Amino acid sequence: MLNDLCSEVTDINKQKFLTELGKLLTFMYEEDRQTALALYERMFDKAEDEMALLQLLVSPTRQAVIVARAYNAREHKLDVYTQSREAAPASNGEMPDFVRAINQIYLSAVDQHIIAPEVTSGQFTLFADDDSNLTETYAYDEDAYIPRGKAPAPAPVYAAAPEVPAQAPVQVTVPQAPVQTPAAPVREEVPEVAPMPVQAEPVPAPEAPAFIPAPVYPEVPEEVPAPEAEAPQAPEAGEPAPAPAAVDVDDFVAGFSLPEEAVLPEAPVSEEAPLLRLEDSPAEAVQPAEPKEPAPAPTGETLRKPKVFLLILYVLFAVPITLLGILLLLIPTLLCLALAVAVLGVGAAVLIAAFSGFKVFADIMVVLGVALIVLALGILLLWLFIWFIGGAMAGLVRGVCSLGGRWCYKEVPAV
Amino acid sequence: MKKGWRIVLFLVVAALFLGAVSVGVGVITGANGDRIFQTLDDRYHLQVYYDYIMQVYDAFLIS
Repeated sequence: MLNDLCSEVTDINKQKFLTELGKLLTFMYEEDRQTALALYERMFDKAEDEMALLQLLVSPTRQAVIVARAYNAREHKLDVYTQSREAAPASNGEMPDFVRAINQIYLSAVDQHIIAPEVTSGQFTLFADDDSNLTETYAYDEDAYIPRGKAPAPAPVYAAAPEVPAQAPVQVTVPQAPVQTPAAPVREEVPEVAPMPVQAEPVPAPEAPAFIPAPVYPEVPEEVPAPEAEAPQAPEAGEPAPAPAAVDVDDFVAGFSLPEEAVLPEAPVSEEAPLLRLEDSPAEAVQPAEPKEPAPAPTGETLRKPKVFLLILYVLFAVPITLLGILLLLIPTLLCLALAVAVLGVGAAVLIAAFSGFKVFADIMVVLGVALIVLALGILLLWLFIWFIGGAMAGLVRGVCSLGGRWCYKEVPAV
Repeated sequence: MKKGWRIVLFLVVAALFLGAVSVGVGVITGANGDRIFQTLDDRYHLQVYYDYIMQVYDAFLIS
């Protein structure tokens, strides 16, 4: 009974934690956010003592900060942009840094025996050939993030592996997962089974394969320069090939612009398309950003054209008149300041006297009342000084500029 | 600026109201104006300042 109650409380805490974390991670792309939440949820599912895990995680805010620091600033979602990565600037397909950060948390939980590194039947270890360096990595191994445009590496490198103590037996747990070998890290069965869009949201099912359906990003092979022969917008033979950095810059700039299909690289529609690229040259994935064409002005729009002569004339007259007006306004402004300082000083002196120089209660009340009235007048004068500067003078300058805009500009229809 | 005006006017009206109430309570409970002025004059020499200002005013008025 008590265990049930504790389990229920823990579950509530877990749910609260995940809900709060989900709210805090809204700066991420939706896919990345779902991935991060799924990773945390798996962590909770695998934890033997969820309260200990909650204590390790400290708070959703702390975890959000960790994820935010690890999250690539270039990948941050822009409000004007999109909720999805589909049209986002291409990444190189490697495991995102925030996944590594969550992986570190998972490994620290394993170190503290909050999560048991157990291997059940149906699971296997990718490091079976090297028992001394058995290392547990979380479900999200790097295979899922190998850019499909690249040839798979002969031996997968697990980023978190060296940080785990050697005495901790750690294995890759892949429940219900199709058998993989380290020599073939690329998961080729995924596209065959699920011919769905690449950016399909991960399904946090309890029997989900150990490989959380990580978002597959359009890849930009950084190491491979864009070949001239196969690129669709390839330059002539004599011209220098565009540097990859330039492509990155274009993608980056394109990421901050409003949706323009012509600018963004061609996003893969399904899982099959990136697989085909395995045989093709990886550079085919790189679509150099086409130069933006200026958007035609919408019809009915007008442009403001200055009447130059009138504008010069107006400036010649308006500037001295404005300066004169400001000088005139400075007189009451400074007068208000002087009076405010004097009145506030008198009010403060009377207020001090009320509490230190009088012995009769009635006298104290009268002097206190007078002090309050004087201080009120002082505050009013001080505000008048501020208003003369921030309201009257600024309003005068604004009014002169506005008048000049009305008089010296004409609206013409845009061509 | 409008919000500033609202806040300042609220403060001023509240201070004026409290001051008026204090003065009224003091007068009702027996405050004496001569006694108050005498106390303030002993502390801040109000009479001296008043005489000095009047002399300056007269001098400017005559000239």
